[in-house]
Amino acid sequence: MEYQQHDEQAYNIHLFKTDKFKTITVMITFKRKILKEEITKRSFINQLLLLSSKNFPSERLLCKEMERLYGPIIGANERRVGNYAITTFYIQMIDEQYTEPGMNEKSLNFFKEILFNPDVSGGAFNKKVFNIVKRDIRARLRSVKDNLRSYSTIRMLEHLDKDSPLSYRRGYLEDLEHINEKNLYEYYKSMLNSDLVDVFVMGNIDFHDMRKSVNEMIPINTIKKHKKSLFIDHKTANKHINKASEEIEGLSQSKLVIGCKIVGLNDFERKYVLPIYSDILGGPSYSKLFQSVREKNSLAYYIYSNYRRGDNLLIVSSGINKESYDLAVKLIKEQFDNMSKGIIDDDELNRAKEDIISIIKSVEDKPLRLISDLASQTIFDLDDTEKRKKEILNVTIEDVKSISKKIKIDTIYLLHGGDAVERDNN
Amino acid sequence: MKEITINKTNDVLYFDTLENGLQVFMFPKQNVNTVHASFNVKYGAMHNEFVAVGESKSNKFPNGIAHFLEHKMFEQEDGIDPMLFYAQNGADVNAYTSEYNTSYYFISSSHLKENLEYLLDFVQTPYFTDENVEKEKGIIEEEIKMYHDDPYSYLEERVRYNGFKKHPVKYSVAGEVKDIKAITKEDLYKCYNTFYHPSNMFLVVTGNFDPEEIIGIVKENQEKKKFDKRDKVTIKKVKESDDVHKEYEEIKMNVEVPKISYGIKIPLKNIKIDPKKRDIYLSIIFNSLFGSTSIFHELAKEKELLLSYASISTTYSDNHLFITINADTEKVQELLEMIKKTLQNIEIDDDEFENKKKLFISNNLYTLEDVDAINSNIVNNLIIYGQYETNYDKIIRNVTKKEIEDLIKQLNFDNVSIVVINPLKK
Repeated sequence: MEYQQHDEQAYNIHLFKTDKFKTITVMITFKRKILKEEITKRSFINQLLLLSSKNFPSERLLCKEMERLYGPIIGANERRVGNYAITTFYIQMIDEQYTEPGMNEKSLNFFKEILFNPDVSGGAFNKKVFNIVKRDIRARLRSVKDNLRSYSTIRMLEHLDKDSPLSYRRGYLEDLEHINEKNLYEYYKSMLNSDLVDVFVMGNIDFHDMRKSVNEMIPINTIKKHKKSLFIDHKTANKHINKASEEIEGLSQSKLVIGCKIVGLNDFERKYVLPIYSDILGGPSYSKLFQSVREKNSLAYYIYSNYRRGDNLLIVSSGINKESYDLAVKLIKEQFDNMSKGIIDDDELNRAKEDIISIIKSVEDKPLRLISDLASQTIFDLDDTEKRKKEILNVTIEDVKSISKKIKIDTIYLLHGGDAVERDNN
Repeated sequence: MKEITINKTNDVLYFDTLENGLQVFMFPKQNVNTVHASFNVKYGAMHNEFVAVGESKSNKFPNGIAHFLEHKMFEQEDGIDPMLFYAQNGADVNAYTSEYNTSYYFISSSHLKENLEYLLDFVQTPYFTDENVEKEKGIIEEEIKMYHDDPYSYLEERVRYNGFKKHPVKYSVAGEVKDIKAITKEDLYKCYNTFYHPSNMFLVVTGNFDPEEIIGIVKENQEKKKFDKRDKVTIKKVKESDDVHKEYEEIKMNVEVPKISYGIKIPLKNIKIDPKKRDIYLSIIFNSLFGSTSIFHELAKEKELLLSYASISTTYSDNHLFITINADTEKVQELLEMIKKTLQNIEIDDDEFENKKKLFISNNLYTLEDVDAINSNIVNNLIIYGQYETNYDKIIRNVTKKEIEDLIKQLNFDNVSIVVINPLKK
């Protein structure tokens, strides 16, 4: 894959040329320091833009046009990485040689239409579409408990540190009620003017032509520089473990979520040792936690750990029977102890390395995952996939043992159903 | 070994049947890193009453046994855990059970020969003991509870249960807690010996490999193992009438926003069209009626009857298709009424028809771009239609307005089962 980067002052362009795929993928990220009161607006905007535009003023008309263009995959998401809010828009289209001549340009123009030609009049978004999105977001925010795994994680984080960005939700009902067509449009303009913008393009492209197309597509010309560090630093870890539990009526499986603060990692540890640590402890297939909690003690169907690089957090999640709480916590702590005592054998280390390398290789086979990875490299200042596959091999058991000291259990949270009633289909 | 060129992309499908009856399908793609191999059994949750090998009479087995068996295949007498084996090779291994089939697969980017041989070996070596069967019950119990706590999966299970009177497709794949408690190792061996015979299985390999090498590995491996000659398994035929088990049910769960599922049981006996085409037409019909380009969607949003999107899912049984329309709504009865009305008068205009055709063309290309999607597409086609279509693009281009109009006249949407999930408090 050949790479070119262009600093266009108001935004950066990253071009990746490859003949591996039959598709062309474009991804645009908007990034700024996160403010709690702006989260709901940002997620509102990324939904609203995908539902109408000046020339296609309803969802029906817009979607019909997409179908005429052979259904490019268009999406948006809003996420927080450490101290930053990141809004992403992407389009993946089939290269026109497999559909119809002219489709590439038409699809790019359509993407431009959606992002930069919204249905606005009198300084406000179209009210009809605005109200539809508002109702959908309200229902989604009210239904946060429908997804129990993510809800229990949110609640654990709120117990861990309710004031830090790390526990911010994906939107707030009280903020939603203050959003109107006008102030949302104002916010949209401020995103174009103030956010840091990166554009990524991947496919069998011509560098010169594509750079020109992107420059024609993006009507942004303000220069900006941000200083805030991406990573959330924890000053000190707590001395005592914070324990919390909450009840949801009618829940038959309890959700156990454990949050650990990570303090003082250096660059190599954050990039390479932490992924290995998490993989050995609670990786996807054959981890210490999986063996102990599921296979030996039959307490859970799922148990895993993951880390949030930007937040300096490691999180263990499991679904258990409420009565098994004490035993499950004891077993999980034992495995943390084993990690810090360095009771890790070469096989475990090598498995983790193989696992991480094979994840990188499989990312390289999927256009949308690959372009997201390329975007993450910019966000986290990560190395490219080739370098990562080599560097990961340098991690030693001593490295893993030594970061164990920097990972401390902070909050143990249980979401349970009280005295559970069994639900039966028959 | 036979070769068939995939039209449109010029990929090649290789295919062979071994002496013991095992079918092997290979779809190489040279420019990717990974290989996806799946070993599939034509045995799923709905094959629950049959004449076990060596017996003369049909017997009924506990619901959920195919899924239980899938879990237990990961137990090996030599003590090597397949999870561990694949983790050491940096490969992902997993399995799933559906109503129709059981599949074991790995995705890897190295050690292909070993990984493939081991896939064949561990699935062809059962090892069930009273002790390891008991141990699994706790794990599967947690898995069942996890599905029951999730309102969307519970809704889906429930409407299927109510849609069918006798056909075993009505039961959830994992069974209920009381079903799995009754499972013994003897049951498992009977099911295993009956269905896990090479003549009832097929292997699908997609990704970066040499087909000659793969077929050599598979042949050598299979020739070392002895299998007796086998007749086709006699599965009990169930007479399922066209009417539903229960027309309407309301359930209370811990949700904020009500959810509905509108299930339509469509009799297939008078529909003579090729099933692959039939399903393309049905997909065009239901997406045109309820998708984002539909009048239904636009009106339901305007009248505040629908939150987010209506989703469509399909269940196949011997003589019926069961199609469900699922949605979140705050106005349950009005939305149900609107769905009913929409189904009474079906018209698809030329523009809509041509656009939906384009979507099928591009979706087919997106699939052919992705090693995992190709693999599951081949598996699903073999399970549902009994063959994989190498010129799907041509089938799509040959669908006609006339044929879809004829089909619409033959479709009977009168047998309906509705399930509503209401919030606990109100």
